[in-house]
Amino acid sequence: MTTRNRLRLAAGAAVTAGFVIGAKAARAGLAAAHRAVRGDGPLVRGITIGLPPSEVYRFLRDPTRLQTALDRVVAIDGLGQGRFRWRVAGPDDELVFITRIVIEEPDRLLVWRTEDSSPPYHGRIECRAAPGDRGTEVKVTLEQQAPTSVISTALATLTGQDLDHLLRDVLRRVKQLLECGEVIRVAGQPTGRDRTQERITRLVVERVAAGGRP
Amino acid sequence: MKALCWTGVDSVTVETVPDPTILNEGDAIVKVTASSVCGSDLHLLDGYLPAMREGDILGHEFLGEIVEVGPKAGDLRVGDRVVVGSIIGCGACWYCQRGEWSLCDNSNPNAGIPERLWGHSPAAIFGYSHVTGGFAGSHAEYVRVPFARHGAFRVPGNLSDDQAVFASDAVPTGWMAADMCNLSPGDVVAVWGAGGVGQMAARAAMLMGAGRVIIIDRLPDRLQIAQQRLGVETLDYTQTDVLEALRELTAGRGPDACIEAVGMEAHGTGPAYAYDRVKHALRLHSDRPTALRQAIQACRKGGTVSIVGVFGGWVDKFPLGAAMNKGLTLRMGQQHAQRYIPIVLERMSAGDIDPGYLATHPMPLEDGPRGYRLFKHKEDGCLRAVFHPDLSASS
Repeated sequence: MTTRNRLRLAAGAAVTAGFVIGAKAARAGLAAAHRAVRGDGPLVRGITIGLPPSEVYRFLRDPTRLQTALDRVVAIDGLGQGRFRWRVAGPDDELVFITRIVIEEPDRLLVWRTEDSSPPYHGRIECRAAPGDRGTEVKVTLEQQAPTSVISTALATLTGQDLDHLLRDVLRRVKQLLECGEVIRVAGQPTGRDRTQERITRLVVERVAAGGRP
Repeated sequence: MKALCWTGVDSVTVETVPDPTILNEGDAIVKVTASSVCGSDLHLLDGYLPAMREGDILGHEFLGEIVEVGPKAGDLRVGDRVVVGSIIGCGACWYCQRGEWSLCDNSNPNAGIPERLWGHSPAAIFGYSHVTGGFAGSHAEYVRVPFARHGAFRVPGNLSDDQAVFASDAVPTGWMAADMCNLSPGDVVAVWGAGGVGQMAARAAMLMGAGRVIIIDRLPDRLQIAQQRLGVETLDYTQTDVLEALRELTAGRGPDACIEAVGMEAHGTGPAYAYDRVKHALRLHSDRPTALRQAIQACRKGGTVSIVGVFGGWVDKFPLGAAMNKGLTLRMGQQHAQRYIPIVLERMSAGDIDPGYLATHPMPLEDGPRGYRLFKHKEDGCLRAVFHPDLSASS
């Protein structure tokens, strides 16, 4: 068995443990798994959205609209000159960081980096017309220069999910908001479960559903 | 309200649960007047689709009256009598826009689960496990209908509840099964499964110009009903060698189209079936493709096999060699409800399709556990149990 396969197995075991235990310790396991498997390479994820690149770009560039797709983000405050302060909520804590847009090509490209995290953390969003009548291909790249960045570790610890899962969930919500105008919900609908059973069910489903495509 | 909940493998109970509320702007709340069991529910009941949780409300084939609408429910109004498709489609994504509603990109909030299982997420389905969204089902007094302006259809006044309820799933699924066969006038169509969907597929094939339709099952009462109601030919696979019979009925050609309306818990005969049962019982494979194998084997060269029976995972001993070397076309999928419901409602209203006879066992919701028992074990000639929450248990 190669070292990489061992790491993948360890990661799988950590994720499984996370499903079962669902405790903070397991969250640390997930973060460790994330570090072990993904190393320091960029994280690249894409989604196809059925609207023209200009509309998709406008949504992503507008902090007020983008915030509706980021359910753990408390606020994105504009500080001027392409700088934004992000506040991200976790169960017991809040993470704050500032990003600055460094390249902006309307309808096509947005590149940003963090100002106050070490090591620096940066990302890019590219929009381009999808083939045929399929709308826009959105590609998000998150560069992590250390084994994992401060922010991704903090996010993983706060949310119990790794950055990859969070990113894919966000992309799905962006697509739903742009195409349907709202994100479809099931939490709050009737079931035959009591409050505790329902909480466990939501936890299990969220964990199992997190991320999606390998 | 009262609702019929899944409470474990082979166990359903009537529970008191909170009433549904509007959660999204496109929602409507429907007061259920009829909600049918479906063969595909049995896969949930029997634990073969594993993402059920205790307390989930079952039911996806239903009819009712709108009692509340969200601000984006379109032209639906309180008081409308509507049938709702079992499939939930957003109406906005690329697939919905093409009429492939059961492939909707946006309706499943748990898209990550089917993406892991199947590579991508198809549409959500009411009351059909957390793989397809975890939406509360219709075996209840009230049900929330997301994207209601796309999924709820006003019912023509000349259709009774026990007819119109099947415009939700059995009739459009059968219609799609026949539509996928791309029939030419005079074609011979064989249908595996004489349940509600199989019988409606047979009727649809006749309306689309099939010259002969042959239904295959093991239950004499179902075969007899199909013969009487639809005028189709029947084969009892426990009494007849189906492959030989189909070959001889078509002078050696084989049926032009074969419709599989059975799914993952198919029954059969002989050593191959015994093998499937053992592996299925031990969960060594997830689905029993007994009828599907036979359909592929029976189909004429260059013919079409249309699959609407539900499969969830992996099948074993799939006769790919027969399919490949005979140049078969395989079509399959969950029904595109929103595309087919307007068509079938019009046909039903005109009297071309009358599915009302499928409702052999109308009963109050409180009798849900008995209804599923009758349906699962095919007792008392049960084709479908249909729950009417407004019937009192003592009536």
